[in-house]
Formats: sequence, C-alpha cells, structure tokens
Amino acid sequence: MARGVSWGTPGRSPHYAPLRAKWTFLGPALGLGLLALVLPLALHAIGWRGSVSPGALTSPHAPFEARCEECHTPRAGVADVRCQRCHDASGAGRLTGRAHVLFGSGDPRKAAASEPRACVSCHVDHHGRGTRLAAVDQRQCGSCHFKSLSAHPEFALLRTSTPDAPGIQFPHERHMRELAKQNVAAKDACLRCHEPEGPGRDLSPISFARHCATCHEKNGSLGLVEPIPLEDVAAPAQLAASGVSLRPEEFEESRGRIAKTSVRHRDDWVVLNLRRLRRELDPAGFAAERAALAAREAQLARRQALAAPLAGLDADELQSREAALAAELEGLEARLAGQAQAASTSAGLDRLREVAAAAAASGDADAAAAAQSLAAQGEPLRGATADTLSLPLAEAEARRKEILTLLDATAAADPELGARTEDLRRRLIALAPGERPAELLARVRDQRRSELARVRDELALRALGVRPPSVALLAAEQSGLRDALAAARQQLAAFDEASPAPALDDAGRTRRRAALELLSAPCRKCHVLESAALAPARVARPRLVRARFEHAPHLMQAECSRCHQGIEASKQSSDLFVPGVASCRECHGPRAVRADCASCHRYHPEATP
Amino acid sequence: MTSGADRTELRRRYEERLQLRVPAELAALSELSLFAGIPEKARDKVLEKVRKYMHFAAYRRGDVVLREGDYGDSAYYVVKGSAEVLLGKPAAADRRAAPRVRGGAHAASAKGGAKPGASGMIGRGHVPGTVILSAHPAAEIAPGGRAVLEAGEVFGEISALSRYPISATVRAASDLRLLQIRLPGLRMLQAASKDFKKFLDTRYRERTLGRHLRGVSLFEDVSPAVIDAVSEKAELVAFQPGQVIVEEGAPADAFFLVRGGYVKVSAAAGTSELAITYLRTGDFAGEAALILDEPWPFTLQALEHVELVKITREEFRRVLAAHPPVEEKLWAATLARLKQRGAALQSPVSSEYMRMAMDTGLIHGESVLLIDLATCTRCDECVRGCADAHGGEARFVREGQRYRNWLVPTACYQCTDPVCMVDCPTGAITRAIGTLEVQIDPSTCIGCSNCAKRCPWGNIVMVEQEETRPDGKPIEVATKCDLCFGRAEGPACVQMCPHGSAVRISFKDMERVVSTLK
Amino acid sequence: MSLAEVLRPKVPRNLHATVAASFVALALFLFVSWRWAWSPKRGLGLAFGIAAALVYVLEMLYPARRSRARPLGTALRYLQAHVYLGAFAFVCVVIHSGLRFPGGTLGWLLLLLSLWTTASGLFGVWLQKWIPAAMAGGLQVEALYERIPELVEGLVAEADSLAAEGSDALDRFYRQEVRDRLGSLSPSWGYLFDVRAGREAALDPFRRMRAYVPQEDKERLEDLASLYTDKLELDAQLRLQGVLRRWLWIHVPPAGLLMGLVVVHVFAWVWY
Repeated sequence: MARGVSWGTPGRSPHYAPLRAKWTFLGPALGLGLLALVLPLALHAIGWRGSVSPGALTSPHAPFEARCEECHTPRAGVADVRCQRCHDASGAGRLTGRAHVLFGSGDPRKAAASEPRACVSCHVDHHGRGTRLAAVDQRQCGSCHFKSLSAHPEFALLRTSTPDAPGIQFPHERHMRELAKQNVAAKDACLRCHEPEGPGRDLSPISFARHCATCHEKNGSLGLVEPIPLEDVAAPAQLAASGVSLRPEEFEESRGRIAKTSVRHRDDWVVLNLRRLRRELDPAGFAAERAALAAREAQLARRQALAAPLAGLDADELQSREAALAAELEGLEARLAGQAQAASTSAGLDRLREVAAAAAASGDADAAAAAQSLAAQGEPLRGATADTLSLPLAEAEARRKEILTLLDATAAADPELGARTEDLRRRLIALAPGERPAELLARVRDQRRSELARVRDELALRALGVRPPSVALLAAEQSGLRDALAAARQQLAAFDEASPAPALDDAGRTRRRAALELLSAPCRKCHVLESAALAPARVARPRLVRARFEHAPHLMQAECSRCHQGIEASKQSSDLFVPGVASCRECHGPRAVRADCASCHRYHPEATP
Repeated sequence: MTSGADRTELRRRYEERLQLRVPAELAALSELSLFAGIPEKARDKVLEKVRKYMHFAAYRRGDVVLREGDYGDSAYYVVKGSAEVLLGKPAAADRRAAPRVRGGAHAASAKGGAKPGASGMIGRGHVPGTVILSAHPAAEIAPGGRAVLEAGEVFGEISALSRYPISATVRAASDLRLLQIRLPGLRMLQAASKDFKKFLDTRYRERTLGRHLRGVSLFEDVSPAVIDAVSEKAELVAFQPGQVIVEEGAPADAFFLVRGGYVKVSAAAGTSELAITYLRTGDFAGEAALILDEPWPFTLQALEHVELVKITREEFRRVLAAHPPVEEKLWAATLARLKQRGAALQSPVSSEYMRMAMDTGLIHGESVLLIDLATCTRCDECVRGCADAHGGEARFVREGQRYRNWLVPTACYQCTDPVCMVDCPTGAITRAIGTLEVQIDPSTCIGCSNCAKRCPWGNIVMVEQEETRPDGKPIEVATKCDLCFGRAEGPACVQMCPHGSAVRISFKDMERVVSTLK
Repeated sequence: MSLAEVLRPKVPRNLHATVAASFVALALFLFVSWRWAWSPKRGLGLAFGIAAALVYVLEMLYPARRSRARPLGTALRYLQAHVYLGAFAFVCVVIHSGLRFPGGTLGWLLLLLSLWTTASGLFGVWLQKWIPAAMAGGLQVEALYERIPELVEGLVAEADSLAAEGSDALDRFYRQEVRDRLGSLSPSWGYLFDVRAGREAALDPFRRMRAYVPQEDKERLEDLASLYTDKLELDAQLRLQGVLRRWLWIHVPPAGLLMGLVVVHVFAWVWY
C-alpha cells in the first residue's frame, strides 16, 4: 500500500521535547530597558540636559539652554520669581495674575482673592527658536473670561452712569460750525484736533498750543486780566527774586491795582497767584492736594529705591537685605496678629489725643485744635471695630484728606516725628476704599514676602553659580520712574513756592475772592473754577484702561462720524459719543476681521509709574 | 519529594507488588477447583498459557483488596481465608450524575446527558455506578451493609469484563490468600473452557444481567418476571476487535445489548461507508430490525473486545407481546434510529467526523485535546503551561495525527473504558467515580510500563526519576495528561493558548464536535 | 482562507470597543482643544499621557501571565487585552502630544518607539493570523520546530531502506538525485509567499523517472516522492515556524527600550 504524504507528524518522539527558554526575548528587552533608563539619567546627572529637553528654547532664552536650573527648580517647575528676575526686575509684581485682576477690576480685594496663575501656564517655552512667547493662545483667556467677541459685555466706559465733571467747557457743535465756516469738510474737521498717529499714542492728546491756540490765542494772548488790588496778589517785583520770568510790558500798575494786558495759556504769573489765593482761601484743600502730591512723590521715591535690581547687589548686600526683610516681615506678622484680635478705633483715638497733646506742647495751636476736633468727632465711635464701621466713599475720601493735612502739619511742626508721619501718610495713601487696615497690612505683608522670596531665590541662584541678569534690563522702568519722580517733585516745588499766608477774616476773604475771579477771568472762558481752584481738565469718563484702540486702521475704513455719531450736535463736554461693543461687532467677528482678545486687550498692565 | 517514612512504605508496597509479577506456579493452579471445568487433557496446556496472567497474592487482615469506585481489571478467587464486602452508602448525586470532565469536553451535554434517552441519542443506557458484585450468593447487600466471602468464592470478574467501576470495597477479614486472574487471562480461560465461561456467565446472568437490563431504558419498568425470563434466555457472546457482529442486509434475528466494549454502527452509502453512531456499555441495537421485520439496516462491528447480551427474535417477540409499553418505546427508539441514519446521510460532515473518530479511536475519549492548526502559532505555550502545572515536565507532545485542520496531540483522551488500566499491577492508574480524569499516582507507580505499551496512541510516556532501582537503573514513572486535576482554572493547555486554538471536546457529543470543528 | 477570513478578529466585541474608545478619546480631544489651550503637561493632556504610560505598564502583564491566571483567566483574554489596549495606548500617546510633533530628542524617540512597537505588534498579529492559516491550508505535515532535523533524518533512513529494496535503477536515481537534497534542509524564503513553492519542479524528477523503472518499483517511486514531499513540507514548516518565533525580536526589545524611556520621561516631568 502506498505510503502517501503524512498527515501530521511523520515520526513520533518517545520523549517530551525541550522548550525554548522563557527569557529569550524578555532578557534583551529588560536589558535594553535598563540601558534606556540609565543612560539618559546618567547623562543628565553629569550635566548634559539634552537627553530630557522637550525642545529648543525661544531665541532670547537660548543662552540659558545649557543650564536648566536657571529657570527650573527641581520638583517645582518654573517659579514666577525666575521669570521676574529679568522681566520684572524691580519686583513690582506687574506681571502677575494678581496684577492683571487688579488692573482689570480695580478691586484690590478681588485681586488678593484671585487664584494665582504661574507665568508658564500661558507662556510656554521649549517650542523652538522661532516662537514668540508673548503670543499667548486665545483659548487661555477663555478659561476665565468669555470665549468670543459675541459674548463681550458692554464697555465699562459706557456702563458707568455718572460722568465726572469734565473740568472744561467745550461744545463740539460750536467748534465744528466754525470749522465749517472755514470750509473745512466734515470728515477733516475731527482730524484737525484729534490728530492720529501721534508719537507713541493713538491720537495725539489735545494740546492748547497745537490745537486751540490758533483761534483762541490770537496775537499771543487769551485775553486780559482786569485790575486787581495789589495787596491781593503778588506783584511782579516781588516775584523777580523767585526766578519766575515775567515781562514787565504786560503789566499795568495804577492806583494800587495791577492788570495784565496779555495773558498766555498757563501764564506763570496768573498761575502762581491763583495758587497763592487758593492757599489762602481753601487751605484745607490746598494742604490736602499738597499732601497727596507729597505722598505720591514718596511712593515713587520708595519704588525707585526698591527698584534697584537685585542683580546689582553682591552676596553680602543680598544677605543683609534678606535679614532686613525677614525682620520686617516678622513685625508685620505680629501686627497682623494683633490687628486680628482688636481692630478697634480706641487705639486710634488715643493716638489722636496724644498727637493733640504733642502739638499743643510744641505750640502749634491749630494742629492741636484740629487733632482735638477729630478726636472729638471720633469719640462716639470708640470701641467700634472695623466690621461695624462703614463710611460712604466720599466721606472716607474727605476724612483721608483731613488726616493727611493733619499729618502734614504734624510733620512741619515737629520734624522728629517726620519718619512716623511719613509711615502713617504712606499707609493712609495706600489704604484703598473699603479696605480694612488688616487687609492693607496683609497686602503689604504679601509684598514683603514675595520680595523676600526673590532675595532668597537670588541667593540660591548665586550659590549655584548662575550669573545675575544684566542691570540694563531695568533701564526703561528706572528712567520712567526717574522722570515721574522729577515731575512729582517739580509739582511739589511749585506748591511750596506759595509761601504760607496768615489767616483771613471775612472781609479779607471776600476781597481775595474777588481777586480770584478777576485773575481767572481769561481762564474761565474754558476752564471751570472749583472751590478756589481751577479744576483740572479731564475727559468726562475714564478712557479705555484695559484695552487699546488704534484709530489709524479704523480711519482707513470709515469716517469718524460712523462710530461717533451725533458729535456735531454736542454742546456739552460731558457728552461722550463713544460707540458700544455692538458697533465693533459690525465688522469684527468669527469670519470677518480678527476678533481675538489680544487684538484689543492687554493682560499685563503697562509699566507706567 | 517523598519523606523518609513514605519511602519505607513505598519500598514495602513495592516489594509487595513485585510478588504480583510472579506468575502462579502450575502445580498450585492445577489443584484449584476453579479450573475443574477444564478438561483434564487440556488443563495443563491451558494453564501454562494463562498462568502469566495469574498471580497468588497474600493479604494480611485489614488490607484492602479492592476499593469501591476503582476500575478493576482482574477476577479474584479466594483460595484461603475470608474477605468482607463493604458497601458504602451511595452518594445521592451519583446515581444519575453525569460524569464531570474539566476542559469543557462535556460542557454541552452536562445538562441533559445523564437521563437515558434525553439527549436525543437513542439506545443509550445508563451506566450504573453501583453494581452489585455477582459474587454474593444471597440477595443484594443493603447500602452500608457487609457480607463475607469464604474460600471458593470469585469476585471482581464483572468489573474486569465489563469495565464497570468496582461497586463495593473488599477487605481481608482474616489473613487471606487470593488468586488474581487478570483480564487477558480471564478471556483466554473463557475461550478455552466452555465450563469456565458458563460458570462466569451463569453468575452474571443470575445476579447482574437483570440489573443491567433494568439500566436500559427499554426495560426500565418492566415486571421482574419478564426480566427473569429474559435473563434466563439471553445469550452472552464475545467478539474480538474488528470482528463483524452483523452485516448490513443479513436477516435480522437478534437483539443485542452491549455489556462491554465499543461497537461501531455503520451503513453503506454508495461506495463509501457512512458511520452512523457507536454503541457502548449499556447501549442496544437491533430493535429496528426486529420491529420492522427487515434485514439489518446497518453493520455492527466490534471496535475492541466486546461482550454482548444476545436476545433471539422469538424471545424478544415474546417479551414484546407480554409487555406492550416496551413496544411503544421501541417504536420511538426505532424512529429515532432511522432519523439518525437519515441525519447521517444528510450531514456527511458529522458522519465523517464520527467515522474518523471511530476509526482512529478518538471515540473512546471523554476529553480529547485538539489544536486548530489554522490559528495555532506553534508557540508551545500549551506545553509550557502543562509543564508549569506539573512541576516542570509537560504531559503531552504537540505531535500526532492530523485531521483536516486539527492536530490531535498525544494527550491522554481520558477514555471511557481505559485500556491502560487493565494491566496495572499496582493499581496506580485509577479513575474515581463521578470524574473522568484517569490519573496515575506517581508514588504507587512502579514503572512497569504496561500502561504505556497498552495505550494504542502512545499517550503515556515513561519519565525517569532521580531514584534508582535496586539493580542500578533509574526508576521510571508513567506520566500522562490528567486534565490538570486539582487546578482551579482547568486544563492548562486550553487556558494558556493565547489564540484559543486548543480545545478539549468529546467525540461522543457530535453536535458540539460539528460546531467546534467546522 | 481568504484575506478577509484570516483578518477577522477573534473576539469582534473587543475590536468594536477599542475603535469606539478611540473615537471617544479623539472627540474629547477635539472638544477640549477647541475651547481651552491643550498642553501635554496639564489637565486632559496629562491625563492621556498618564493613561498611556499606565497602559504600557499593563501591557507588560502579558509576558507575566504565565505565573498568574487572574484576573483575566485565559491566555487568550490576556493577548486580546494586550493587543487592543496597546493600539488604544498609541492613540492616547498621539492625543497626549496634542497632535503636534514633539520638540526635543526624547519626545521624538518616544513617539517613534511607540509607533514602532505598536506597528510591529500589529505586524505580528497579522503574521500570526496569516502564517498558520497558510500552513493549515497548504501543508499536511505538522512537526515540532526543534525536531525537524531529526524527522528529516528519519525520512532519509526510511528512503534509504526503500531504495535498497528496489532495483538498481531506482537506487542509482535515489543516490544521485534524491538523497542529498532529501537530507539537507533548505528553508527557502519563498515559502512565505507560497507554502508549496517549488514543489512541482522538485517532484518533476520523480515523475520523469516513472518511465524508467520496472513495474514493481513504481510504488516505491511513489513512496519516495511522498517522502520527498514530506521533506519539502518540513522545509516550509521550518521557515514559517521560524518566522513565527523570531518576529518577536523586532517587538519585544524595542518595547523594553520604550519602557525605559517612558521612565525617563516621567522623571523629567516630575523633576522639571
């Protein structure tokens, strides 16, 4: 019988066959796995970080690529202090999420309560040399705010109901009619004064010299000042010594009165005398304003002091700074703890009485009287705590001004109390409406804490051998501060020029009043007199703070009247005629002109002092 | 590893068992009255031929000779002393419980297979677990009872011949001397001496046949008188492997009840042969021919040593006349059988599987391991799993016959009537009642390799152990697949195959076979 | 078996579940990345990354399954879990990266290794489906890989005795043309494309020889031909089973490498 091809196994084995070893594949796999594990980690340990780097850094950061520790803290990711080392070297905290909330809402309590957001949560590096870190994904905004333009609420500009007093009288209607008489086309009329593409600005600010003088200061003069009794004003002769430049030909003195025939805008003599008169007529207001200016100057000075970058300090200085901050922090903590227990008015009232006694002892009867009156006012509130107290906003502001004046007086009377009054004044200025002292202290403490963290971080980095960033990074901010400080000091100086005046009786007051009116006559064509001083000119409502609007590309598409409708008929300067968000949506939208958040809004506030 | 105490015990049992390998002396045999029925002249010659299957064995008082539930392969003749028969209480579930087999071989039929005739396979008898020893002369022993066998009694021959499990424990009541006649010897004696055969047959007929008949669904509730009449007139016949019992087309003249062995039922279909079904212990055939008064519609062929109970046509007709309900059942059985045949014609696939199973012997298996070669990736995970489950040595090899896309590896099929058990001198190879795993106890096995030689498919492999025999050769132990007895997850081969290529099925469950193998 | 039959999944429910899960994951990614910025370091991006890493660790359970049966039970379930979870893990890896190319070396290596491991695994799945089907369909002989040389020796012995019985012509033919080739294994790569490659050509000499042998040898010639066929089939078995064993070299060692780098990746995330 034929054998045929076998079905199955041709021959059977009598024994069991040996099997392939179990670890044939797993052995090499485990070996390779261990190699893959050990090799990069070993390389990492000796400093070659390329083995774990997730991508190249953006080109400005490229110099740090070799040392990850410059930005990364082991097990803690990238802390904000590292970014702020270069990007916010003065430590103002301008670039934090809290600053953004403050910037956006103006509410420090909301800012303090907001969740902190790390810089790296939006600015993600390691995506290659060409990335722009500042270009943040639109969707990041959407995680806290609404998602698209269609959900944008009405502008806050238009939501606030009451405009502030504009401080200037300017009817658009009248002016445009005048321009029309001069055959200026309607579409060009606006641009005569609202010049686009001013240096660094969207529209040039209105300046008297550029925009108003051509019509209003004909022949170099706004108008003239009627004769004023000499004893009410400072005569040019008196002022020659103080360095104010005056042209004698403009003055006419006769019969104990002085008149000025030609008054320019911001005429030195007029302004000086107005200030003097103000000081005599409204000493409280004057003092308050001066105090506010002084406080601002002090704030700027302190900021400038703080703004000395840590980069410039050596290790010893850093350590002493650290010690000082630590001590201050301790004190703050103690005070906070004390505050938490008994934040009542009793201590404050006692303090006031002490101040009154001190003032009386030093002979300043006015100050003593003022302190006593304040204390008397506050007596009914003795024992009340912060929770039970509440004042309306205006009254609180008024109180603040009063106390500032008092502090000024105290400082002037007793220079030895200068430091203490300084401290109190700063705190008073820093106190935000609605904020309890404890909250302010907490804010201060947080700020000191973050400073301490910065100092400690800097020390740690120096220990690692990381070089400090360049001092030149601060140049822009420092110069801005310097300029602001100079301006503040100049204004303060101007205030101080006006020498203190004796108290007036009623007759004197009346005369001074009349003088004031005569003096300010040419000014009052446009300006408004407000309790013995010319009100500063300002826009009726705050301009866009949290967004920027560029007129230039819009002017290419449409005329001014497309959005600012009805401005030709406006007779009051408190009218705004700013269009709402609906008008923006006419062109901006998902399938039309770009409508992402970043096209109008900024996240971080500008670095203006 | 065996401890010191176990080792001495093993040694003792080993030596004891060794004596079983010593054939009985001729002189001692001739004296026994058991062989008186063999003619004088032929006696010595017959005894000489048979003596290598006969051993004298001595038991001390209290030794267990036979254990209830074990499979026996010998008849025992009490030469001297007395033995007591202890019948344990029958387990309630055992009476009709289907045998369990892990690996899912019987999963489909576990629900209804036990009831006679319920699974649609007709002619299936119920294999009773409790069979009274024919040895006892009196009526049956009550459960929990006890009887005594004196000298001259024979016991165990039914189990040996019919491959039923032993139904009662036999213990030496005093110092006992037995003559153990193993199955081949029994058969030879039956063939050589009509008287011997008659002796055995009469005992079977008197005591056991009735009970066997009762086990068949046909005669379930027939009156005892009928049973007795049938028992009296029935003929006990035996066939060799391959012998044709009846030819298709021959005049039908008898009803057959299978006492032991496998019978193949096939019919001619054109030029080829169509396998219809198989018959095993307790099944019957011939009812169709007798009722329909037709020639045999199929061929019956013995697949191995087969013992049948043959009831002639007249006798059968008499039974039918006396007991009409039997005829009704017969009609049902006939119809079913005819349907079976028709089904076999229509589904040649299942018929072919049946034929393959019968020709290759897979039909015997309760749990056959099959590997689907179309999905098997030859990863050896099955073998590795088997090795892990058995202390490092696998129990099967992935070699064997191939049938279509299926490979039948040499893993024990757990035969219904295991031939490997027949020659085991120590009883190391056992199967308990209620389970179907045939197990070899390694501490009892002496490595004689009888089982390995007997297994027709070479599924038992001898494995060398570390210990050595007294003559210096290493001890071998027989190993085979034991369906991972004691492993919670079931057979490791099936569980460890990552592609699900390994299945264990029984070819007795043809529906399952067709659905799995197609 | 046709290609469609071969590629049919064994447990279609697992395929459906995996595909569904992938779609859900993608949809989730698309939705979240549309609304919020997607970053692999935070939020859902991180979650997907952690999920992928954990699944890769679970994948290692498959080689460990030998020692434990729980919780999945059979090796079939373990393999199904390994394959489908692996595919899903790759989807998670891609989503974790935000569907952007990675920036640094480590990122690229991880992505490529993931891709390679998953692809090689799926290639192995295809091999394991196709080769057994081809073998079962085209071959009759079945042998253990390690025993093939021994079996061939057995065939040679059988052929030797067969040829010795026959006539001289048969014997000469056998010695000159058959014996050497019968005795040497030649597992050609062509068997990968057709399991019966070259059979006709190889059996041609036997057919030609039929005319030249006496009658009584014709059956022996048939037997020799069938022996030779057995040997050819054993060659095919050797090659195909060899491929089935060795393909794991392209899957398991890269997987080990991948796991090592995953640990480095996790370290980098924790440390930085």
